[in-house]
Amino acid sequence: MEKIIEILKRIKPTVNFDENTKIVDNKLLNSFEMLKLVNELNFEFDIEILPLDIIPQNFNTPAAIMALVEKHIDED
Amino acid sequence: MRIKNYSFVVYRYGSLSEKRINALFNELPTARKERVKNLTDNPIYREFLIVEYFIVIKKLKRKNTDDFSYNEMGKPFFENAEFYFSISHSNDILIVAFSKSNIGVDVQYLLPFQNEVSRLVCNDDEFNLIANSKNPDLEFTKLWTKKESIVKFYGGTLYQDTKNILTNNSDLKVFTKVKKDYAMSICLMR
Repeated sequence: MEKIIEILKRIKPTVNFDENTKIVDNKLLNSFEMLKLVNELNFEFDIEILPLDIIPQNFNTPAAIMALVEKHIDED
Repeated sequence: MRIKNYSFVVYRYGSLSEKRINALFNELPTARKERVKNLTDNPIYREFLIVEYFIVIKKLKRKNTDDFSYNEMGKPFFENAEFYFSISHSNDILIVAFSKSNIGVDVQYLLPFQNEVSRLVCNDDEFNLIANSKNPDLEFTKLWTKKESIVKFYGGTLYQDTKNILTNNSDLKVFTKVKKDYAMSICLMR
């Protein structure tokens, strides 16, 4: 979880993220920042998040993002 | 309201006082209030949602706003309106574009042309063209707004396969303007 929060803070330093921060509901990341997030998650965790994975429920909180990352790590 | 092909309004909402924002909030229809009320982590987006609503109703000269709603992609619309509109914001710049036919708009503050992320946005031809241009950041930002305006034309989602969106689509026309460090694109049916 710390790694996810660290990535999010790197992309959006002005937001104080915790594991329950509502990212999508509050529109905390714009389209370009979402692209950066996916790119960084793929790089940091050596996974490949697919366009089909990028739905609001998978990205609404850092906890949801962590669950998505773990799912991909388990699959690999 | 007379619109030939399209028109747009640019608004800088960061300068509004809290008192003015609160007064506007109280005038919102219930559906809009509910959406705005829960926005605690992003005050600038809250202001954006409030102001865009008033620009739209003022421009469309609507008296009854009960049909204000959002489609499944989160795009706001009036069910019985005879005009289409599209909305975009970047920092505290808000743009609302109007047209008699479907329309998509995107505005973006200057983006950095970075190798890894730009590769996700550009196809090979686009990437090489931008990398060899005089101002890669500006050219990249312009391309991004072109692609985003196409996404907004069809109805935006959280993420698009941006790399495969072609800006030379024969069914669509895309206009791009640059002012200071912002680029803006409007997408219409040809």
